[in-house]
Amino acid sequence: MIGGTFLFELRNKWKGLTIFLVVALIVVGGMVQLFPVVVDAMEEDVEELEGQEKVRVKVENGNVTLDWDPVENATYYRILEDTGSHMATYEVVEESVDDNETTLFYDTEEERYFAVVAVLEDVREEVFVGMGSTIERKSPMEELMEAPYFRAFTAGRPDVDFRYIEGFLSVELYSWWFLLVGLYLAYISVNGVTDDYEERRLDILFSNPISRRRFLTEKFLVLSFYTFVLLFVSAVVLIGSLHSVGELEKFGVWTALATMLGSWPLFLVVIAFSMLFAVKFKRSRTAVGLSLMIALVMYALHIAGNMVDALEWVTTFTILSYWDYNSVLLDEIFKTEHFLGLIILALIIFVAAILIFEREDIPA
Amino acid sequence: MIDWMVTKMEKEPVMKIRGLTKKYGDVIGIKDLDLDVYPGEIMGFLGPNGAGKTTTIRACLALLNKTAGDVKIFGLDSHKDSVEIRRDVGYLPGDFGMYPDMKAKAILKYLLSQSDVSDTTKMYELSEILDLDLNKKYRELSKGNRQKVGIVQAFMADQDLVILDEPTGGLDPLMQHKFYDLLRKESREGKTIFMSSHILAEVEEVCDRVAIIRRGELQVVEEISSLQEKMGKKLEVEFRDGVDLDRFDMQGVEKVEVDGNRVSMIVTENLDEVVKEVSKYDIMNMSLETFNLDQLFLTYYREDEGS
Repeated sequence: MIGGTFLFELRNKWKGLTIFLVVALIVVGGMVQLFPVVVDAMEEDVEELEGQEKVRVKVENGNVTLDWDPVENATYYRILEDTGSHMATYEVVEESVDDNETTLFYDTEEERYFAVVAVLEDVREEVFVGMGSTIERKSPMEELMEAPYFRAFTAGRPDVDFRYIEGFLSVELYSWWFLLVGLYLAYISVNGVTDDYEERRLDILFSNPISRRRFLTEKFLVLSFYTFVLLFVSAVVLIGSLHSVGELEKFGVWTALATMLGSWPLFLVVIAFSMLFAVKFKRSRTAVGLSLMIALVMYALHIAGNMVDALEWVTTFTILSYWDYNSVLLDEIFKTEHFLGLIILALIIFVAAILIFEREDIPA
Repeated sequence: MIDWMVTKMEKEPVMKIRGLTKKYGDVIGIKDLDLDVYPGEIMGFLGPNGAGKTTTIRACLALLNKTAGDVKIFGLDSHKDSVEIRRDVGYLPGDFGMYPDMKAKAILKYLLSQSDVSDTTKMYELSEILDLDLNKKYRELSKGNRQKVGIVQAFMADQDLVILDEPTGGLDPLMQHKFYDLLRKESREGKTIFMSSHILAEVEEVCDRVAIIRRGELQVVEEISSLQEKMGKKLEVEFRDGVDLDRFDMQGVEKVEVDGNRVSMIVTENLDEVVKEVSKYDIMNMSLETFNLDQLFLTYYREDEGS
């Protein structure tokens, strides 16, 4: 019966597939719900330096000038400097400043933190006056965003802003959600075939009038169909979740659909590759191991290529470069040629899998 | 040859194997095997473990590629037309698994649907004959009951040729006899059955002909009755006194052995003459034994080991 394997696979695997679908949807919907919280945190959680209001810092002409509120009975002031606000590795840059102002040599663009300590010799005490820095203070999230590794998750784009929903989802959802889905699909694609080898079912299955080509094709179609449903439902959940936080109008229904459904060919390649390994190695452990390893190595190379300029050439060979969701998300460009190219690649790999499956012995 | 067998063999073979060879790298699985299976017969395919029985069957069903040779089933090429062939062939593998979390009924219905058969009457009939509970999950079934599921699936689509690889593994003796009855019934209804086994008694009990394979090569293909005739009978006589052994030097008498007054010999023909000769002496004890397949089989293998 044409479609028999397709329906049987769906019926047999629906529990596992549904559980993953629910997990994926919770992640998609939940991550959007975090957006307002994160934006609030970025705007409110600008951590003030201790005594910041008492110390003023001015950078000008290669110098930094500090002035501070004077302390009564202070004999002199000591100036400490560090590269972080923690002051854990400070150096004393001025041991004894008589006035409540000093100018220091400053020829770097790196941020510096200064602390002013008043020394009261009469009572043999030291009083902390306050801290200042050479930069405008930002929230920890903003500082994190400027870290170079975020470029890796945005296909090299340096100007992604968390305060906008597109930037937030690019880094906090899409950057790993596709990997998660890809790894799961690789796992079930391999096991969907190797289980039949390892459970010794193929002799019985092929005592029926179905060809190996049809058998494998129906398995491929089941997973392709499931992936499409997963992506479509994820897009619907994404749209609903965006609507609930008031970001849908800005984000756009088309963007939500395109970023989800646009990844379908990428997953077809993952499924085809995994099936190829499954029919070649016939053992779950080997085929799953190889599939997951290749997926993770590709991901790592993609990240490295986008993070380090010298490794940019590597991205040509990583499949993730041909599903650039950031192009849709941030540039509003859908790369149709990549979409079609990946479908063709998936079909080529799948045909190779069929040829191997048809030509090799079925082990007893 | 028995008349009804002659009639069957006048027909075109259902399965025609010529020069079938299967190598696994440098290791030979089966070599240059020729065999015909005729419509309506039950053919036993006998050999010890590792002789090449399963390899032969799986190569015929295109589960393995052939290294050389030609297999025709219903006149179709075993590999090029394998899908078409499988419409008319039921198969029970020697070692198989199914879906552990599914009920036997659901598994069988699925397999039946894969053969484009919607009628489940025979599936239920067979399950009743074999006393199989179809509502149990496969993982809950004992080894014997799992084997019954395999047997039901081999016969349920009512195909013209049924190939069985060691079909009685795991069945208790009572169930084995039910299975033999089933084979005979299917054969009466015109099914052709090709059955591998290393259980000699079952081949002797149900098969019309037997093919014996050893180390991948076919040793003999014969009707069981004529094979037994060819092997002769073993005559053992205990005489009161010594005898002149030269008197038994006649055509059809082989392997004459003496142990005191006890003489044994294999008689393949001229039994009447031999008995007349024996009767000329005083006899204390005498037995005449027909070779069964066990002895026959062992004889074949001993001869091979000797060579």
